[in-house]
Amino acid sequence: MVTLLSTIVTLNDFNIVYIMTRGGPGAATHIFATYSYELGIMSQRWGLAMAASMASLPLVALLIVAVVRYLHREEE
Amino acid sequence: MRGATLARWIVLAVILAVVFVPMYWIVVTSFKTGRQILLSESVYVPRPFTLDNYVYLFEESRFALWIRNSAITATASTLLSLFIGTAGAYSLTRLSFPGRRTFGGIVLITYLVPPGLMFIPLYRTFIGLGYTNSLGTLILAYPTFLVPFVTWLLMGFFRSIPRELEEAALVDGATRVQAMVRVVLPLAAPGLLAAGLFCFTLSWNEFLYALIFIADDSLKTLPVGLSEFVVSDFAFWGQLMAAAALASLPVIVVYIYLHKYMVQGLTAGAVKG
Repeated sequence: MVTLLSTIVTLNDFNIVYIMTRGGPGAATHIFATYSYELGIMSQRWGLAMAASMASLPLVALLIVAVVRYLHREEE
Repeated sequence: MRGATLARWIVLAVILAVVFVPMYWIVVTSFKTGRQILLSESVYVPRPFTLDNYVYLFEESRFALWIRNSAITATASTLLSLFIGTAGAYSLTRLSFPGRRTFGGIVLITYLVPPGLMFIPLYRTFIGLGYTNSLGTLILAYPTFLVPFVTWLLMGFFRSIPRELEEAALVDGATRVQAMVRVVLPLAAPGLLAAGLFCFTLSWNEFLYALIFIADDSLKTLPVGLSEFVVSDFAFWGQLMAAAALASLPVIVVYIYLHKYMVQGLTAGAVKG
């Protein structure tokens, strides 16, 4: 359960990566959120930026469904 | 039996070290001069002991202004989220209307969708509204993750309060709102407190939205201001650590004072369900 939650949070984390490397050197340490930040906010390429963050959606959605299921089961 | 106790102490000690060593490091570093930091002189107890970093924060950086901005945003968005979240949680647990369960599920899902996915649509929305670059933007943006959180926490809490108490109030002629405000909310006070504290901490620490929505230098919040002490590969460690120490102080003080209510609030709210 904790693993699921922390995977969801880490997958789209921004702060640590942005502060430590800004996705650099080059683009070697980008993750979803920092890359879409660079594409969108920095270069105004909104379509690409959305595509970059949406690329994580299938996995995130799967994890969220797992968490919601788990919590609902616990409720009953 | 004795081995088990020993093992438990070791695990505890390791956890404590993981939590406290970075804090100790922040405090110690904040009292060092740049030279001491770079050359690793007098690593554990700084000698000479200098307050320069703190003086610098208040005299040469806009630290006081960042604190003010953070305090305003965090307080306002916490109050807003508590208000909406309480109303939401109450209606989702006590009133019956079609789609109630689905709605409860949706609240949880919104809480779990990470800000890393949300910031571009949100930014575009605020641009469309012509309302960026103001503390008000942040006050409206933070509830996007605070409200689902408060709602979810309080739903568990309200469920743990016996329905009969409220029914008694209703029978005695109270209206729904009176029953909620006079009977349920006082009983839920620890939950409200816990939710409020968490909201405050979350918005006090929030970085991504504050970075994107605010361009004006005088409107920056603490975390964004602090990040300016890191310039590409170089960091002004002394000043950064002094600022970090001061920034975490209010939260730490409040937690020490209120943690007994917090624990109660969290267990009643989240676990018992």
